[in-house]
Amino acid sequence: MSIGILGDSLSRRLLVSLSFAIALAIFVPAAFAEELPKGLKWESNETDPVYGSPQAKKGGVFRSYLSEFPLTVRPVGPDSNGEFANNLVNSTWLPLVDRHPNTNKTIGILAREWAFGADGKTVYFRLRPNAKWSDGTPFTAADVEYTLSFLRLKEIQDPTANQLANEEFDRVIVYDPQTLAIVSKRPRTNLDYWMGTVLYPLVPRHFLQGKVDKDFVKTFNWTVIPGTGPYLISSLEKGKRIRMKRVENWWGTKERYFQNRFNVDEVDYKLFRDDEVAFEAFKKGDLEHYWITRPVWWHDKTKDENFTKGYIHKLWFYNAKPEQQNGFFLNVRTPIFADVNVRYAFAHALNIDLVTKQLIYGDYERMNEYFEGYGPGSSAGIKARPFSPDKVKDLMEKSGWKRGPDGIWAKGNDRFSVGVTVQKSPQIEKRLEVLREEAKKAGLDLRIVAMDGAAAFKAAREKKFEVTYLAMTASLFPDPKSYFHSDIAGPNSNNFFQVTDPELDKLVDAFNSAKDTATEAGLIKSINKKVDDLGLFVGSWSLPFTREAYWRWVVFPEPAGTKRSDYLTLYQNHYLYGGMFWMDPDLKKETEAAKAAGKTLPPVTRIDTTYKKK
Amino acid sequence: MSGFFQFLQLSPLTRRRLRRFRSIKRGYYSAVVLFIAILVGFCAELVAGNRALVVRYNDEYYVPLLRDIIPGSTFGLSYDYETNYRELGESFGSGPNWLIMPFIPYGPYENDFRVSAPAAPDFAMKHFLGTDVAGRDVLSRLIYGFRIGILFAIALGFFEFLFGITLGLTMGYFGGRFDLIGQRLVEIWSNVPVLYLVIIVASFILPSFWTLLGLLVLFGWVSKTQYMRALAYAEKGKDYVLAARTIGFSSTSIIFRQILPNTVAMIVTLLPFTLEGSFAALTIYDYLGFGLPPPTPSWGELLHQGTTNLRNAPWLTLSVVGALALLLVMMTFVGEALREAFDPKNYVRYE
Repeated sequence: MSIGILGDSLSRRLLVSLSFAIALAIFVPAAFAEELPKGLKWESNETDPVYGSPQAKKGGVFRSYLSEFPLTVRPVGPDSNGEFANNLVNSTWLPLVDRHPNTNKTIGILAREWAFGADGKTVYFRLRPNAKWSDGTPFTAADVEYTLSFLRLKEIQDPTANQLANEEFDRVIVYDPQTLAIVSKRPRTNLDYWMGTVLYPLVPRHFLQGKVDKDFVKTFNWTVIPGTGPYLISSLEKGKRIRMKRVENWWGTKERYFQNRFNVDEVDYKLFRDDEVAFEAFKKGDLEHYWITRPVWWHDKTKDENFTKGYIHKLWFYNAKPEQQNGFFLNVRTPIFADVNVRYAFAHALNIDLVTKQLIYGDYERMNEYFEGYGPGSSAGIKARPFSPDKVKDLMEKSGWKRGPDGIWAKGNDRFSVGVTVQKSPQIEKRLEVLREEAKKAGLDLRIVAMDGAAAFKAAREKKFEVTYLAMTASLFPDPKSYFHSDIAGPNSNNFFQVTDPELDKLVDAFNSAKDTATEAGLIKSINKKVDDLGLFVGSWSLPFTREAYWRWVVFPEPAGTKRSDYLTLYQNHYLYGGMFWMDPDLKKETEAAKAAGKTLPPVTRIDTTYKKK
Repeated sequence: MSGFFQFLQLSPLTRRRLRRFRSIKRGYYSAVVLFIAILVGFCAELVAGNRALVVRYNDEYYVPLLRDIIPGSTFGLSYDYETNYRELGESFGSGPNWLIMPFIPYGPYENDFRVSAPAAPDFAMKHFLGTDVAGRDVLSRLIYGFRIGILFAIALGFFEFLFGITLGLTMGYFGGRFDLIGQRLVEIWSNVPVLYLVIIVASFILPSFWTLLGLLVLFGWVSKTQYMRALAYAEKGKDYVLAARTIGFSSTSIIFRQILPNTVAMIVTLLPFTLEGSFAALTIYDYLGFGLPPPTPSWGELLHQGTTNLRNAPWLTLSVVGALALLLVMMTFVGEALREAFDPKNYVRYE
């Protein structure tokens, strides 16, 4: 049945693109009315290091897994950001430009060149003439123009995309099929990134125009929309399996930053609702890889023959991406945390190092500052406050608290009893339970308020908590305004602290009007320092690595990934920092023969510290 | 007049029933073991805990169980938080000071990281069933979890019977339209999916002992009404009820003083099964993560840990599944024995 749908949509696609090409030929000249301004300084970057390996071999079917089946393969709209979307969107659609994952300099993806307008709001792009959609139609400026109007449509039922398209982007100007400009609503730093990367995913006009009606969300649930990226869904068995094949004669194969990448012919995703079952299937040889970052898995579950006899290898890869803000957010508008000494005392009462040592095998690193991993100059060199009952004692006594008969600090009718709101998760709860027992030694009564994921985040946004334990996904560029500005210190914002500090506001405003990245880095440093002085945030763990287990015939280059590779095999074909591995058929034969004969090969646990922070 | 109290005064019938119960060996011994287990559960602090039972220090006696925490500084230690009595005991050596620890010297919340968690059973360290993933003594958590679970089961059973008996008997006794409407409401009520309801409720409030109890009582009494209603129907046609009515007893008095004592056999028989079901329910909700909030010791939570660490820490699953199986089997034995002992067929003679 699914094949039928696909076949049908394929023929429809051909028909549409054909009629569209004719229409384009007739009406196009009238559309290019605007003149390109004179004196633009065109930039390009075809000189940064390549990161695919020349040893890479093409071919093979990479058998992977999903823990939930996607509810749709649309890139926008309801249910479009599940687990599989990460695989789908980033290997099917490309942006105009992005940042090189190692040098962080702008590189052209679908665009070959770009230039900045004098108004500080416009970026001009020249497209790569060979860029094509997976159905063979050339990728043109009209597609970019269409994408902006598409993302603004109410019918796609995607308020976040609507809001972004309406509030950040003013318009797209088409000069000719290869040249366009994107205009921002306001001047900002990193404008090329905002205009060329954030406008995403770029969708095919010839395929979608005229088809987006009120039923779009439903009719496109399982429609495979052509992409510009290396892979495309080739078959779907709902609730069971999805296969993505490399696009035949993909236009990008020879492009500098795509060289020797996206090596496997096909990725075959099977659904395993249970992690343990997926792991058993992997060890049986039904899957090529298993994402094994969790400490217990990495240390305790990899002791069987497949690992000790060297058939399955392990890789511990350190990256250097911006770190998510992971830790305890203190609500300063609650009576107990109005006093900065109490906030410091709370930080000193958390024995995070013990948890790291005992429950996390010492694998994760302590998060010291609010904004981490944002490059040189942005770190204030702060060390997180260590666990110390003595320091807690000094601080609490300074503020006039006394230890009560139950060992908890008390002042009048107040007790040093703090509720920590956390999303339900056995793993996180265990860690907090250990912190709770240790906190008693410091005279803190830590209450664990475990709530359902969505409810916990809602409570956090509505500021109905004393402390909330969160992990906020890091953006490529820091956004201090959304966390610290007094303008948003109320319900429904990410200023979880509800902090209103004039000095902090000044720093945040200065950051938002900064003209260059060095100034920005300096301001991030000052903000980190200020946040630490105010005792707003107690960082828990940062996870500057990913860990994978894979059969011996899966080969990774040296280094195995890029600075920004947060996964190597799990979301394997990210256009920017994925698809660097390959499968070696000779090694596969060799390994299978060895396994059949029970022969021992050297066991391998590779630790790649190329990008590890010193 | 009061048949119910006659039951407590051990009427010949009751004595016969008890004798019969004692003669069913496996039920009787299960009851004895369960009784002891519940007793141990209620005095859990004496059996398992990190507070010493008695400390003799510099000619003074301390009973840490009976008071708030005693800071370490009291015993000449360098800290102000609660004394670690195990370490204190070791430091006393063979001097004049001494202390007595409970048989299992670990509390249910305490993390013991002297060996990396989860640790396998170790008799030398007195971790008789090992430790869980947060380094807590499994046996200690089983005992405290049992106490909470059995308390929960008793409370749940009590309220379920209270509402179930009252409504069931009333419906059966009055019959007619009251019964008709009542029955339809009960049918609607019994179709509410309780598990989903608990999940939904848990998504916006933090479940606690009382909210969970309230929620389960709200829907748990329904099944009891059916039994009681049927019994009331059967009893109300009997001569003693007619007699009581003729003398002029009020309906309330007839229902609760005449009919109720004659349904005791049913109640007693249902009791162990109700307790068993309630205990299992709490375990299930805890296992699914919708039960009592962390860090409450709980069998369900332990079972969850066990299943996610089946290969690297099999003692977790073995302990909790063993305990659960034992408990449920014993409760079933008691229930069966009671049912047999209270079975009227053994005693009613038709002439």
